Amino acid sequence: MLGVARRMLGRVDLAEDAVQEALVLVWRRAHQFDESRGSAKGWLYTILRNRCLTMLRSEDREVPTEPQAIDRASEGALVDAAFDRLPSSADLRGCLEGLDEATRRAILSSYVLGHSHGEIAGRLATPLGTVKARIRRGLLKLRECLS
Amino acid sequence: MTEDETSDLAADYVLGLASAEERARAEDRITRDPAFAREVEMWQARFSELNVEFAAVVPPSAVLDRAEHRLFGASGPLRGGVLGWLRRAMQSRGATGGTVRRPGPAILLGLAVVTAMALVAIWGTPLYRPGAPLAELSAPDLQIAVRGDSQRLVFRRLSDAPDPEGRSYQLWLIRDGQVASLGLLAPRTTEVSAEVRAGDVLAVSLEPAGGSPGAGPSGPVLATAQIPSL
Repeated sequence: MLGVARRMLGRVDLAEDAVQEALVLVWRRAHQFDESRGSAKGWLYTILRNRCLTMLRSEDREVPTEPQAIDRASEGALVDAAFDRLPSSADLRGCLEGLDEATRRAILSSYVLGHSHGEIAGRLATPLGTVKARIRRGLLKLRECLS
Repeated sequence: MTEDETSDLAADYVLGLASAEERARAEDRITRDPAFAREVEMWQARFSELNVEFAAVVPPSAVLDRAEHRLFGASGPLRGGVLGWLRRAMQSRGATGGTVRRPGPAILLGLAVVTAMALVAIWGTPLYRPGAPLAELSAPDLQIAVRGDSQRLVFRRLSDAPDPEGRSYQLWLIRDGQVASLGLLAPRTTEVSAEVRAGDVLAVSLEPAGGSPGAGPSGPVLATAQIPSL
């Protein structure tokens, strides 16, 4: 859990806060878990990711906004590592491989790093509308492939 | 909203593309719109594969402390149980190691125990089912199915990976705050005579060849599992 949170939040202290919040939520929401709707592990990660995303989107969080504060090489490595760890037999891997690289990276950046449309557009130096359209087409293709 | 728009919103929510406002709306809709909830679950299940295969990272003790304090307060009913064991283990280490509190295997074991307890609470029903293992211990390179009864346990390794060079896996039983060694894990099947009760916690740690030099784990605790019923 800490690894996922650190990957998204980029700071150990924030990641520890997120794990702590997630553990509390897991305990309090245990009665809401429905085994027929998915695995316990998936449920845990959903709670953790939601907590991380809330922190990422909250106005008071210190987000590095200066271009030099963004470690693009590190972010790229995290995205690549997450993709490379997918088993070759995984449907998700096969379907992601069917997308062009820019679209695949944009979608992976959103899930792995928690990036918003705007953050992805900023990093790719691409107009926001273009990024949104690219991701939209990619998700449509991904959904068809996965189903 | 069309089917495609519903799927788009679900995907944006799961991936993290949605704004804070959109996220709040999506979370509200999940509770009211079963079709939307199913779409969200589909995307969550598919993308959750990106969360696996992480190397274990040990959070510092403060993470557990803060979560525990928020859940149980300063003197909640669980403080004398498993969490109490954690504290005693930490204090014991402090007394022998010359430091008051330090992160170590006991912290990891304690956090893993809390997680195991949370998972039992999540399932809501006993994990044991006829034909199913009593418990499973699972780490990146080690999977163990545990069967047995109140007098004996049989640990069967499901993974083929050999022990790391110069190291041994060691099994532990934790009850009422006390930890006891069940011996080293054999290459295939390990049978142990032990009195076992529901609520006991099993653990496996990575130790120097031949086992931990002390009465408790000296290396990282790789996995834990609670025995819900017998």
